Amino acid sequence: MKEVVIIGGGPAGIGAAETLLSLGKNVAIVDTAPFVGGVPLELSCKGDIECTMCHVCMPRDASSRICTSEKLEVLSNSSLKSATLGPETAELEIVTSPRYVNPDKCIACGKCMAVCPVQGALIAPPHGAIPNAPSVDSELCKHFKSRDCDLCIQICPTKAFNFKEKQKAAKIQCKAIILSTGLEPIDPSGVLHYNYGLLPNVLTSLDAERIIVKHGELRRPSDNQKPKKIAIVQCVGSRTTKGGVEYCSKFCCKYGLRIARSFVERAPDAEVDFLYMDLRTFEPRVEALEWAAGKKNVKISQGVPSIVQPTEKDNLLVRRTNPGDVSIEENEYDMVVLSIGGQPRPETKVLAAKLSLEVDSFGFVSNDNRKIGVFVAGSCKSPMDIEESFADGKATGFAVIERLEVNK
Amino acid sequence: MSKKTLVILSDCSSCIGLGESELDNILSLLKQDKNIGAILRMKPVCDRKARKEYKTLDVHGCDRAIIVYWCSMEQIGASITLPKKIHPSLVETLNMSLCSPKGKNERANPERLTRIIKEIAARLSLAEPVKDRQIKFSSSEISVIGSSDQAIKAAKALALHGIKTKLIVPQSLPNVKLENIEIIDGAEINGLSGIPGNFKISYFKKGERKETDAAGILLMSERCLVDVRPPANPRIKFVPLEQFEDHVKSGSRAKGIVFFDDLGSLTSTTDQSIPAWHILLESAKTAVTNKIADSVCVVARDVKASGLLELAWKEAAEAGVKFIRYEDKARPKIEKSGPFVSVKDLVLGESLLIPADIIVAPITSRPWEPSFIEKLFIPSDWNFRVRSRGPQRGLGQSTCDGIFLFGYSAFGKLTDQAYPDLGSVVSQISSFMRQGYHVAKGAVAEINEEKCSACYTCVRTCPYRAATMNASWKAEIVSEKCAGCGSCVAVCPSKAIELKNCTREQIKSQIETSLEVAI
Amino acid sequence: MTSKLNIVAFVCENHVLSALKAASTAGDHLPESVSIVKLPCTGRLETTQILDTLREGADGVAIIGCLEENCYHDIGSMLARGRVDRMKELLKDIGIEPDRVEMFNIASVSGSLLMLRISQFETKLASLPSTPFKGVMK
Repeated sequence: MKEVVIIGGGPAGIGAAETLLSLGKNVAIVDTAPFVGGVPLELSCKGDIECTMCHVCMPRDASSRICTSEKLEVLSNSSLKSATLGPETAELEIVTSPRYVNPDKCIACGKCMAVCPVQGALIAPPHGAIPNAPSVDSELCKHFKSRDCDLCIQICPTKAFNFKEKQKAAKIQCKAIILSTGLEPIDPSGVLHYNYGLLPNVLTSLDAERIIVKHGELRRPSDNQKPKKIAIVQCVGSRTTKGGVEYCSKFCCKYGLRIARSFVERAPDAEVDFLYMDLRTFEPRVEALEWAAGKKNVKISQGVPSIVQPTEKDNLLVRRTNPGDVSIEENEYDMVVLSIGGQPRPETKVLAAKLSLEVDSFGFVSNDNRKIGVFVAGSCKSPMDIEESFADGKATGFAVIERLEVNK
Repeated sequence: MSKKTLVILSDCSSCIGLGESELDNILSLLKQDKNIGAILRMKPVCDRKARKEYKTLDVHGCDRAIIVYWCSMEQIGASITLPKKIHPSLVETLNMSLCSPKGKNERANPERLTRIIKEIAARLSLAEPVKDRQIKFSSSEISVIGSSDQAIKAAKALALHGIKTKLIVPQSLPNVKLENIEIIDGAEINGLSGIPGNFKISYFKKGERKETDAAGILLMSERCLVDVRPPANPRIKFVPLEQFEDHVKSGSRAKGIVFFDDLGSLTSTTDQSIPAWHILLESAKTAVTNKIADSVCVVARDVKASGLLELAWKEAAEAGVKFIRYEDKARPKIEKSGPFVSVKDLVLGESLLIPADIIVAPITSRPWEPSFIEKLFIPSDWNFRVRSRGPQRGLGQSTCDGIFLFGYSAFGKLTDQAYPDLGSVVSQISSFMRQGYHVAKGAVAEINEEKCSACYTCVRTCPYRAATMNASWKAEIVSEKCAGCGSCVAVCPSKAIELKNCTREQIKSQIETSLEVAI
Repeated sequence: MTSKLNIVAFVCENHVLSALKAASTAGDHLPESVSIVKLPCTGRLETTQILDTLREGADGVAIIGCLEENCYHDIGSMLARGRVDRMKELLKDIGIEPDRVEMFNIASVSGSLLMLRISQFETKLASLPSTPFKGVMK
């Protein structure tokens, strides 16, 4: 019997888990991904010398603090199938897809990653992920497709691979449930005038972060060269009635500015044009733009582009209205980064229904049911950035403690 | 007990691929080292049952140890227990996977392995056993220090969650009684001393110097409200945003109401307003729907209706509120000739003259006075902004344990975007109080009084405010506060401070051993 | 005869060590030329100790600390940065390549970036003539 089951292991889930574990409660984290950590696992630190407070390291540091706790059970590759809610306890049915690697035996030596012939078949644990063991993607893995590859089994020094692993279903009793499924990135393919997906050097902010994690700096997907002049476009897919969501995703201004800052600090000769609708930074404007003061290669201006078109050498021509004098201006860039926001996952609606919660027209969970032990934390309630989700997780963890102690 | 190191080699041969002859070579080289007492080969650490055997092994007269293994499982190092004769603070775990050479052939380099083990043994031979201590809290109360109504709100929240709270405010609250909260009003705080769990707050009340205890402090580091009004024009009335509701109730009508988000831009002060945009949008929409003016405009640099507030913005715009954005280069002006505001609309590029017989704006605010922060001796940055621990533990905790922050300084973000329900700070305060003890580190800095020249450099540098000047004009380290970072050691011009287990000798021996192989 | 480089890296045992461990988990190991000296904080490192390391024959000294404003001990990496900058000026004055001493700020999640910076540092040192201090202290 667990005391608390946390569904969704992103920043909010980890914040709640940290609070609960520090006060001695038994916690289980359930996540559909092979690793617990949520979207921040794929993001990069945006500081070069000075910390820019992007908070990407926050959930990972927290998860490395809690991963050794004996009161924590991590159920990755798992999802909630059904829930029977009662006034004191609830019974949850959790279905776990096979990982094919035993995390208790795996020592994360990386030898299997080096010999696997198919790219993407073995998903490597990102730094600080729990559990710290790779996961096999059975759709890509050669062993499943043609049954003639067992290189990883041969090379693993602790014999952690088990391709016979089956899907498991477990019934867990618990006293409280926290739903913290968070947000998924908005796909800007629906914003047709930006041609995302058709032009190779138009990326989303998430694509850009993945490249930075891999190479340490931004590179153009078309020719792997360092870009010399980039445009960062805000509000893509948010604040719109076509091809996105109507609300403002809140965190993209903060992250877009930090991506711009990190780019300029790592490539001081390059130029960046930051184009926004409203600068919705969390800190006062003066502080948010301090780093750009006096830099001639940084231009931060109001007015998002109307169209992004291809030019030669896979460069991009961006047309927009000049702020202040309403003239049309066209500029050529070698890369365009679209700052995308987040929307609630489709699974959130399904899970909310199982936990007798309601969602609004956007998919955000609009209530909680603390009387029967169902709590909601993090950005699945309303758009939040990493720090806020983490704080909300901590606050919700504490609210759960109060329920657990009242019911004793 | 000799100061010899026991080297325990976990048998990771299947991972590191070192053959027997290479191992023999390593063993013979290590046996010659003067700091190494004995070398043991044990079963691999990844074997859970084998780990239990480490508890009862023969220490061969050594009182310090190095456990060498090859895994990437750092948890393993933490969970190995050795016999009591070896002090836990003198045990190093060496994860060889940190030091394997790059390349497809992942075997550990025997020379490197030997060199690193020797380095660690050399450093350990100069180390002292140190132990962290637990100091119980002497008080069971949290003191809330603040000056705005946010402080009262915070104290209520804490009391609601079962935490004994004391509220210390400078203003007089003669008839205010709050359940389960002790109020000390009219108090001018003079100083803060002590260690987490045992703080002493000194203050002046009615000219008398008094003192009170607290286990922890919640500092409402909200900016203090400062009344800054726009230039006088008798035909324009200024209404603070906080009092707009009363203005609507009064029923007075106007030709034009202009809402500003940041009064600072008009008065050219560096202080900035922190408008609550949800209140701003509500108020503007109410002005239109209640028909209390012919024209209602919001003039701002950015319309900061973020998150789901975007929809409230759309509603307000549809109801008839006009939103005008301006650029820093072309700021709005309050006309002296009549009740108008002139502003250049950034988006449309037009210069506008807006009727404004009422101007509404949030009252500007600025952070705590530097002298206040200095008096409290709380770690703060160069701008006297109280330091919070950033992304590490963050969110309402200052670098000093037991001092919690709420408000602008804590989150570095605008109040309405920060955590309005105090939830996460309350949860941290609750965890702190339930723990009931403060951990005083063992590896602390120590000052040699004879060398100290009382220059105050360490006192100014210490991020934990653990260094103080005592009555005999010598610097002293409050060991319960010291976290062992060594900043004071490095800045002391008289080289009077030394850090336990990271002494100059130890660093020197590490440098020398690591460069021996080169020659 | 190929000369082997000898680099000493002063590393803080908080964020940077966890970045190192994380990188090695992913199979990204330290080059052979690098030795690690663990410090409680880079703020502990004194300017004279950097000079001593060069004097003992190191080809290069890398100081790797937390990001400023997010230092585990608050101001340590900022103090270290000031010392490294002063050291580089001093080295220029006495005729030693200032590129031999370098400071990097790394977050706990930037394991691969850390390895990239170290290998870039190693490449830069390889292009310099061999250190005049080799063998002097023996």
